[in-house]
Amino acid sequence: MLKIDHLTKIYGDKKAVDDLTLSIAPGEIYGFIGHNGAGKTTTLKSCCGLLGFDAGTVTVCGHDITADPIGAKKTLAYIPDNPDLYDFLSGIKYLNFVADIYGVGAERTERVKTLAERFGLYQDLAQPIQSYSHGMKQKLAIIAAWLHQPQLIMMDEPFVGLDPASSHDLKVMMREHCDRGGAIFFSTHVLEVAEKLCDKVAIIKNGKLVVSGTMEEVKGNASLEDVFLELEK
Amino acid sequence: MSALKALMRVRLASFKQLYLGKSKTKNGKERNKAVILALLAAYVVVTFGFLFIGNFSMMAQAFMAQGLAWTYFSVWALLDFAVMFVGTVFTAKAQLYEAKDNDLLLAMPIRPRDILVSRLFMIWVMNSFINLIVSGAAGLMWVVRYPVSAMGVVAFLLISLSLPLFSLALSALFGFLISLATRRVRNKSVITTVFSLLFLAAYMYVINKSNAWVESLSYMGGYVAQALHPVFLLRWIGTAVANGDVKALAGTLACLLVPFALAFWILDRTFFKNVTTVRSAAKKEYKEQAYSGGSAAASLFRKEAKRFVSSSGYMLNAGLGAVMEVAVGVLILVKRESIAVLFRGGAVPPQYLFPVLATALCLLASMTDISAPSVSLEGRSLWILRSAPIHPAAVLRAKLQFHCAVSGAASVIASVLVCLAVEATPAQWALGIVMPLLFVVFEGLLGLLCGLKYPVLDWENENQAVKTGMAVFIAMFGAMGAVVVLAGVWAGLSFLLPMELALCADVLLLAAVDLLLYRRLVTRGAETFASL
Repeated sequence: MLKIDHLTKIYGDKKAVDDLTLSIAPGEIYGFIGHNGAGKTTTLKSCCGLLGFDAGTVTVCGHDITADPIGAKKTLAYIPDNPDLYDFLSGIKYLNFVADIYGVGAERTERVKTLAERFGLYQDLAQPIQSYSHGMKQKLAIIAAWLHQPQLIMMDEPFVGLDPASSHDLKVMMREHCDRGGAIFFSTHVLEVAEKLCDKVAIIKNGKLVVSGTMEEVKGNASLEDVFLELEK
Repeated sequence: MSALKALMRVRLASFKQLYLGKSKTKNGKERNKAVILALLAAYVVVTFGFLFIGNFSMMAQAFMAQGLAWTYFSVWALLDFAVMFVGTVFTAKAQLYEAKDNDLLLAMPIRPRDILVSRLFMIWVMNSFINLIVSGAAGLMWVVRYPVSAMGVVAFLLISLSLPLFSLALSALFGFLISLATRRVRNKSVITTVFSLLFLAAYMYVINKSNAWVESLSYMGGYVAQALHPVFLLRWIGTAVANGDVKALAGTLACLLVPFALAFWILDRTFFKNVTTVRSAAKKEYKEQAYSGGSAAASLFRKEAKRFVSSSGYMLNAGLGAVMEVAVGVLILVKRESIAVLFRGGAVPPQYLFPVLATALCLLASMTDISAPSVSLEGRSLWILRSAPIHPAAVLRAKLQFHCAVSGAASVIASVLVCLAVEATPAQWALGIVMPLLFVVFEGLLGLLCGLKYPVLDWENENQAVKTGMAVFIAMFGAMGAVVVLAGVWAGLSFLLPMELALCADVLLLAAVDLLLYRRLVTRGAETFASL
């Protein structure tokens, strides 16, 4: 579903992502772990067409992100680390805007209701986004990502700002999405979450992929935290 | 004291950033931008300076010839106060009651009084800048036209130093009232815009009428003096400067400084409560509405419209030209006889009336700059459009369409009013509507291309994107330059061709340029947008 092949991104004289190769199959939750500035956000942004890159290819559901960005973007959803949404719209207007952009028809009403009720945001949808807390904005960004039922969802630190109940709901939704044949690629610093939730995990250090594979392959009998700290030395 | 100094430095830095933009790098571009903006600021100061010098010159002559010198100083104080008050009341509202960094500062070991003083200081700086122009002009004309006494000069200086503080006190009070009136309403930006437009309309009315009033003062000096005499403060100001009256000066200073001291005392005691009390609009509960959806293009257009009406800064700075356009159209219709007289038997032949008005409509359209800051206004939410499956050209087209919808509607209304005013022929009707409309498209395209060339995406306050971006500056003055070219084309061709045909050349020129710019927008412009 996502194939990253020898991806390289250079800022000035620094290689933010260095020859990174990995692939994500349908049904997989793929965790992306690394220290601050390791290149996680750059990789995610490159994969969803927000950043150009210097070498390599990224293919999303068979669409090359450089050659066919619109075809690729139709199949994916992206949630950034900081949900800067349109503050001047109400929650419902933002969701309708996203639905229009992705061509979601009348079925949006039911989907919005189901998703917003799940996150306890339904009653607040008429409020302007500028009155939302950080957590509410994050919930709205998640609802917007799920609204058009993408095949691949890419998320940058999705659990930041969420209350425990919403974190739990998001984890359940991620699993449900993958059980339906979708895939998820997300970055996180919360190693316990990655360990419990991910089918596969990749660790990136200074732009280079250090290790990747199934959770068992990566951590063996140790904890993910021990493996990560060992690799960081 | 060190915290207060640090706050003052931050305020001055943010003030500089708001009006001059960021200057992290000292490269050539930044220096050029600073030079251009400094020249623009100098132009504004000189223009207003000469306007006030002209007015005060006439007043000095009128009042002093009739032995009513004190009235001259009363009118100076009144005018100085009015311009300062109108110029800073909305800044006072934003700075004192709605500043976004209050929480951040209050969480630090800084006394609330220091925060308040640093904010009042910035409003005082703005007031003093205005005061320098108005009082400078008044003082200059006084010295030139009338003998001055040492006591008079002392009184003039003391009063002119006190007036900004008096204005500050009243700005703070009215800023509080406006903030209170707009906090609980949902359409805050619309109400703020209406308030601003009312203030602006009053200001423009006063500026527009000032020459006529000043002229009439020459034979109504006695009447004005009679009208102002019962207002003891204005009388004291007048006699303090004109006669060097110490008692009147003491009374004046007390009247100007006591309200400031009182306002500071009240603000000091209520500042913390004011900025920490949440007075939000009543929560509106969502009621489910079936929505079948619309096209992406329509949704992008609606998004642009919603952004525009939700920001009073955007509406006032970028959309004011549209209001002016309609207002001028109405004015031309109402004053059609007076305008026609100017072209009858004057230096300019009557056949120039229509092209001059059509060109004036283009000039007014150049003041509507909705498209220029629209790319920068995406700011940190740019990722939404960049990650969406839409072609960048579709985003840019929506921005262009919204610009054309607002400015075009105003342009058509103004054109119809002008055509009615001059009793246009069918050919003039067609030219009068098509030429300004093509100019509106030109302005929209130019604005967007400039916006793509000079994007400001890391703003903290959207006014930075609306007011200070290089894109707005170049788009507005570039379009004004284009108006000069258009006028030159029809004026030059009018010696060879009938006037309607000369204007047709402008229409063809505009259509060709629009086509070229549009092509550039959807190709190179779209590529640039995709790489922002």
